[in-house]
Amino acid sequence: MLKRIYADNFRCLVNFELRLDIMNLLLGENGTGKTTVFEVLYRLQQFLSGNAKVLNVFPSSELTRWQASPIQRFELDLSVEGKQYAYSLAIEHDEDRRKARIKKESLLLDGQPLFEFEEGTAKLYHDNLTRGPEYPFDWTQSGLAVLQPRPDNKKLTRFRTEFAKIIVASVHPMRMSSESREEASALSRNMENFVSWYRYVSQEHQGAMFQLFQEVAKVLPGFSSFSLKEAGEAKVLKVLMKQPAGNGRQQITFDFSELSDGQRSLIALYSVLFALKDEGVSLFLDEPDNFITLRELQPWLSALKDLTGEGVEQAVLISHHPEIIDQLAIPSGRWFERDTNAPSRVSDQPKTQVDGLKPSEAMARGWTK
Amino acid sequence: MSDPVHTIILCEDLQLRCFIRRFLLKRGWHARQIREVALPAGGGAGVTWVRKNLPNELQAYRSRNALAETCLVVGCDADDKTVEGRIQRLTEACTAAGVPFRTNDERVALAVPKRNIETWLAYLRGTVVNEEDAYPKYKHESECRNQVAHLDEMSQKQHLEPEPPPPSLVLACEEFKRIRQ
Repeated sequence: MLKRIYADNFRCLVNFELRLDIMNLLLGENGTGKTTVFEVLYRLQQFLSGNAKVLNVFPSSELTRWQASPIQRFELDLSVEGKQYAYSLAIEHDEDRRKARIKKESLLLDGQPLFEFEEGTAKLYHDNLTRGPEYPFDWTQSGLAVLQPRPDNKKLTRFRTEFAKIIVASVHPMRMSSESREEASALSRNMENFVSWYRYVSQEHQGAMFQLFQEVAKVLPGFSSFSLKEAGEAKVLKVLMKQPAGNGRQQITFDFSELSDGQRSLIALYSVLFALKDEGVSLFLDEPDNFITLRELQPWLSALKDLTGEGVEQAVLISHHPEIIDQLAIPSGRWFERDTNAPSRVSDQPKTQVDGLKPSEAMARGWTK
Repeated sequence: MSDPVHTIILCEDLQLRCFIRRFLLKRGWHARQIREVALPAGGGAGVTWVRKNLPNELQAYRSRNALAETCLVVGCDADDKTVEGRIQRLTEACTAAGVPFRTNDERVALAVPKRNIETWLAYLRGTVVNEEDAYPKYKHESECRNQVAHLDEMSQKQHLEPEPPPPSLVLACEEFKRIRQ
């Protein structure tokens, strides 16, 4: 579970810290920094997932405009089976020369170092916390990301594995193609690659598909199953629906792209819940309520609440929808605020508590500020 | 079109609401059949909020029940009052609003834990409890899952143990028979 995220000198985040629980709802007006927090997380995932260059992931143009410092910092506290990982990254930007380099990168486990990079030198530590090799390394990419798994660095690579289990996404059904050219193990930020991701999870987690189909059938009456049909070098996601009784054929097949935006959103939302429900994923979903009817919101939210802490490790939602606000703001709200061209701030409580009104109504009146 | 909601939970407290919902799921309800009424912004809504909203929900229940079988579950803590006293106040609130309180044949169940839901949870963890003391709260409501499962098992056997169970829980089990599917 991600317990804390810290960012300094990234867009509107200046010396910004967000502490998270199992279930969280990020609340606040437009432009207060909620999605920016998700963006930090997504960028760090990109940075730690391979050979990404630091300037491509964190361009200097996204330094906080009113800050003079060239140093940008990010920190993560990740709890895994009671042990606490602390990841830290400091980037030094040179805007004039359009360059950036890693000033410092480190990973600690329960306060003990597993990896350190500073001044061009990387230091590795074994799983038993003894000093490992020390070597010069590239200033422009993560030294942690490129390490190959070995028997004596399981603790270090476990961090990467667990961090990669965080799904940071918004549902954009218009961008979802029904065609997939290759499997994708991770969902893209706007779920454009949903079908490629489905291809992957339907192979890797076949046991979960039956329940997923059952859940989708509840929200899409007549739904029977999905199938992936060959189409040249690609595969196309087909949706099999039951025919009304007495109507010749037993099933009728639709292309995924023929479904409505709302139906595709529902399929995506139930898929992220049930396709990986025993994999310990964390869901960071930005406005999952878009496109969904009122009748469908509470059942999906209830399913999310039921699974969170059981099969799903953690849920963090951003929403402006009254239905979600009224269910989650009281127990799980993280209230974002920001004055004009000032840094984002967050608190566990609204600035003003309003008794007697639903949280959404209090927000609609601007009385929580 | 998707199936309509069948059971409404009107409850003053998040933990009690979660407990009731999970118990219904154990007893055969589907998640989509249940709707939880949102609490007001203060969070600790209290019995006053339930009293205020109960007449409307009863009216809605009767209107809907004329078309399709519907249930209403009302939850509020007794706190330092008696369970009977709480139910009497609910009755009075309905009367004052010009809405008759539930009749014997209506599928309206009351869950009134005394002292509060934490008393039931402590009992279901195997603690010998009384209905006067305050017992610890869970950090997350969902932590009640094992206690819900335990109550489900015991209520199917129609025997609560350890003896004696909290009288308010015994009464709630009787209330459940009104809505049992």
